[in-house]
Amino acid sequence: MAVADARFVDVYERLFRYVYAYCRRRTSADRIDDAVADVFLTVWRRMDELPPEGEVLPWTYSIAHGVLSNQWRSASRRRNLDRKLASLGADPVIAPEDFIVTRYESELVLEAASALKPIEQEVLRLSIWEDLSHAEIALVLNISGDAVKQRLSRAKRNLTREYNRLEKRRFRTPAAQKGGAW
Amino acid sequence: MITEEHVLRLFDQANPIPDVDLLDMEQSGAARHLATLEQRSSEVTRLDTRPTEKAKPSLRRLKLVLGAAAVVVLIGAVVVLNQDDGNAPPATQPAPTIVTPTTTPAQSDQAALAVAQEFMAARSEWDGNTVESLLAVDATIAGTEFVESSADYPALSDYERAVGWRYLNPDCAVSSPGRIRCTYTLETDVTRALGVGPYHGNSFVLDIEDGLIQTVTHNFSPDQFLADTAPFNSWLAATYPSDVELMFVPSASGGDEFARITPDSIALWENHTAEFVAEQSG
Repeated sequence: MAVADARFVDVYERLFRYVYAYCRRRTSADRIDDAVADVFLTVWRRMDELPPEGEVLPWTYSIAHGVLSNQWRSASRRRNLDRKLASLGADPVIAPEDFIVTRYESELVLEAASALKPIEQEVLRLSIWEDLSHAEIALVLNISGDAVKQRLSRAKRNLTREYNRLEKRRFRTPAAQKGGAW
Repeated sequence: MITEEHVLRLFDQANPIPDVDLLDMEQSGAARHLATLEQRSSEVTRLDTRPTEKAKPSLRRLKLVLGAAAVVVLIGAVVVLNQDDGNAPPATQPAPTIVTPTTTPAQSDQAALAVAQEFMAARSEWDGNTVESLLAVDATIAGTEFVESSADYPALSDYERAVGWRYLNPDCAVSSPGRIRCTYTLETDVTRALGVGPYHGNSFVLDIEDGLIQTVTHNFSPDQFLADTAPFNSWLAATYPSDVELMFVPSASGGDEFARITPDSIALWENHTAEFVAEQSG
């Protein structure tokens, strides 16, 4: 086996679980295999850019981040197509739900997180779910450590605000008219 | 009021894969994934004209493709070297004078102007990825709560596409060394449907250094725009009251609420804007 092959297989075997979990936490079940395959295909193509040992996992996460971003954009285009098909009387393609959250609080906190900006959601997940340090998150997102610190702080604050807002909503009538679009 | 610590603990508990080590990686699952990977690899090598009986496992084939690409590059390099040989100066010729390239302030401003024009073009085309690539990673963004960093531009562009937010007649000029001011006229699908606007006199002031935008300052006074588009907001509150909260986010500074630019919210903006516009024209 060539050296490059051996290095790739080593990376694959060590990181497969992590990449799978990363994708599983962010996309629907029917898209995980494609996403993981795309990640490792990209890793293979970029083996000559493989960073030092301590940075391999964040580097791989950054590739996964790009793959899932592209996947989301494709899904967005598909939703647009679905709407157009629906307007023509065709049956839309319905994406299956990936998992069912049974606990109310979990459902609520995930709903609150979904209201944050995508970059804030990602910083939160990388910090709390992937348990990465600020320096590692900086590598994944290609931003400075200070920027990670600021974004994480803001994301935590916004998540708490959104959670409390949703919690209050249970006891309220439908929302009153809001201000402008700006 | 639930505390931040409690909310973060709930978020931690909501992790779909709480422990990677406990992930059920059955052989069949891994095998299925590897099969997918192989299929993807074969798609990449589909243009390979070698007989199929020589086909190797996918990763090997990938390597062959990469190797073939390297040979092409090598051949190209040899050709270039040979061409260079033909023009090579004789050994006795004095070494060429090394001229250090210099950039005049005027050239620098022209380069900055080109970056600013590309920024405005990308904003007009709702190409958030290009916008993001034109900004320094730690660029400062002022004058809007919509975006806080360059990474927010793809989502912002998606929102602007959803509501038909147009930057008309962009006009960029150097206002001082390294600083470009781009004026534009605003129009959206809703303002067009309501027959209001467009809104003149808005601008971006961009500080550009080393080919990257370091500071974006957006000068936009929303008062008239908000007053004119109030009918849309009233319609929205009456027609989709439960969506309103999902589509707006409170201002941290206590000002007007502004649009939420998450994927789900953007989808609502797109649907409801299109419906409102259709009703106005119908």
